[in-house]
Amino acid sequence: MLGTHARSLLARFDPAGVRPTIIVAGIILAVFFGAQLVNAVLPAPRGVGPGPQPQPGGAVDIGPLRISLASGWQAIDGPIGPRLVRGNVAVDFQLNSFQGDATELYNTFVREALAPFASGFGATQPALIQVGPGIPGARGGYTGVFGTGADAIGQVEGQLTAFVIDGTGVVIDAWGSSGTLRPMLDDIELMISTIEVR
Amino acid sequence: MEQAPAPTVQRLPSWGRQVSFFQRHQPAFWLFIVLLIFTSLAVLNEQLLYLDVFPAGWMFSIFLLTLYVVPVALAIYFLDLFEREPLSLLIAAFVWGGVIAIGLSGPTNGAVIEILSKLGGVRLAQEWGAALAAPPVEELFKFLGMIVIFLIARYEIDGIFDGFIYGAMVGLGFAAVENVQYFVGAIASSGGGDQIGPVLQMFFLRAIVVGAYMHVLWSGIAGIGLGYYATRHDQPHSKRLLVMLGLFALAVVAHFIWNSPLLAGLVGEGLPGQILFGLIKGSPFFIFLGLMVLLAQRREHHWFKVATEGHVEDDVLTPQELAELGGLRSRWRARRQAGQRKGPQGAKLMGRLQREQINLAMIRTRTHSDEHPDILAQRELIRGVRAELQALPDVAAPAGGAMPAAFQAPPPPAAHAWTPTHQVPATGMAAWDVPDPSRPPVVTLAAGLPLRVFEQAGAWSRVVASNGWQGWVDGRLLVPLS
Repeated sequence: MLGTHARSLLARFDPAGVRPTIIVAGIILAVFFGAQLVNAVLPAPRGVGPGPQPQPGGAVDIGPLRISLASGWQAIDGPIGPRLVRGNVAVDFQLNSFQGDATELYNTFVREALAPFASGFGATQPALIQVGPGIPGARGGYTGVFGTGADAIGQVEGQLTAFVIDGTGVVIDAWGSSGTLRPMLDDIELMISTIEVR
Repeated sequence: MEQAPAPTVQRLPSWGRQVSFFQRHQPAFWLFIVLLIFTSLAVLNEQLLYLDVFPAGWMFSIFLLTLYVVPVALAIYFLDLFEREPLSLLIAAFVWGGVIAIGLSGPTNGAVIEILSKLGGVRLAQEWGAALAAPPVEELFKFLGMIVIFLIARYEIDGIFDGFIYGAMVGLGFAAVENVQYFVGAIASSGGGDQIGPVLQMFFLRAIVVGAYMHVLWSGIAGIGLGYYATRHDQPHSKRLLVMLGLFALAVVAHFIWNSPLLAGLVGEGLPGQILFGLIKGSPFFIFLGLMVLLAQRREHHWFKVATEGHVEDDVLTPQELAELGGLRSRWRARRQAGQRKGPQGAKLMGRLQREQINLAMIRTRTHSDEHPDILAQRELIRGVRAELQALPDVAAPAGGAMPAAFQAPPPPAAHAWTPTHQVPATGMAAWDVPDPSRPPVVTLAAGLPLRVFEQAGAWSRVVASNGWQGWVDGRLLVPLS
């Protein structure tokens, strides 16, 4: 029945166009999904140490925060704290005691933790957002060339999200080389917006 | 005995067959629609995000891109001298580049860069990711769009030049939306919040300084390959395939060289460095494309000559007009000269004459015969337009002094005052542009056509029709109206 219906549908089409269209559609599907599939099955780069242990449901606990990992993301121990990675995009979490609001934390981090270590550095004024269960936060973007010599990372684009809970300042620094961060921003912002405080 | 040269068969393109994008019986049309729905959500979401975060910068980006896209699109459109492509197909090509190819390329580029990072290390991905991932991915998705357009309306790509047109439009769409990403990225990088300064700087760089070397160029090269494959049926299939794949590979290589960090250290910072960057990395391919476009245009001009060769050297198409139709500037020059002689209406009529002469070639490619009724009707139409043009009074005296009053044309009757005084007899009648029986008549007037006589010269009557057309007829044959 279904086959008959499909055949009658196909009969409406120009027969000369069916085969090449199927081939074009096949190439598009193969390249688009093939790249995602290969990326998903390839293991993460070696040399990455064990990070925060994933919880059932693909969540990780970082301090008082529980973060639900988006598809393709891994939690590892980064050089300055817990880090989520996907490809060469990293999301670093830094938790320190802080007296002030989210905007002050954002500006302090930009001024003291980023700008001194970069050339050609620039950061946007923070926009006010809400993180997880209604926590007021500040978010902005930055760019700059980080590192020198053998430690050079090169041109980096980043997005900072800062918020304060119970005297603890949380800075979430998502960064990657130019052009690599933007495709990941939807994932990153989703993970931040669904953060739970334990 | 001298042997006559063997007759050559001139294969003409199908200029006379025009189809729109909306071909519901073509499966490729539905593939286009499905992919458009699938990808437009992601692209729209991205644009709304930009609008939300940087409203002024985003709107300024769109404004500037309009200034870039419209002239480039018009230039591409007008480069096509003879059979201009249907607007719906050109818009579809633009949309494929700006929505579908962009929507498919973003996630695929990200995945490929991650694969590079996993296989070759983060450093490789950071330094070479943009060069190794984007060129094959983006050029492939753009090229597949050209193939989809071809499958939707395969008779529209009837020359190598058409392949360039569709390729360039796909590339222009891609460049437009990608530039919005770069402009908004420049705002974010500036650190100054929602502002237009960084947009202006990035526009100057990407649209003015190096705009000629990027997606329009790469896709144009690949499009020429598709045009060659689709139309050069006089060549072996293997050769056509090789040329198409070769030009696609060239587009990928050009894109790779552009994105690669090679030579980045050799060119300095600032405007001179950027200009040098473009010249070194882009201009060889730009020159190559220019030559290809020139050759393809010559081929189309040759087809036009072949299609109209049976109509040259009479009152339908003079050799001079044939030459003038071979280029945009010569066409405009002819219109300008007509305008100087006959006023704005003369320039307008010269433009119409040129259009109808091109249409004659379009019809000829469809009918395959110089005696087909459509051809004969088109010839009559051209004669009518020419008669209208010739009947217009000159607006300026010839150089060297004022025209003697006796030879000056009387002022034409005001259009609002036109009332017929006579009509053409039942047998029809010939009309001349000047009262000189030694010259051939310019048109045959239809029986019963109402006319107004406004000048007499012996047996000659100068008449004007209701639409403003003027000419000379044998006044003795006119039937007076009571």
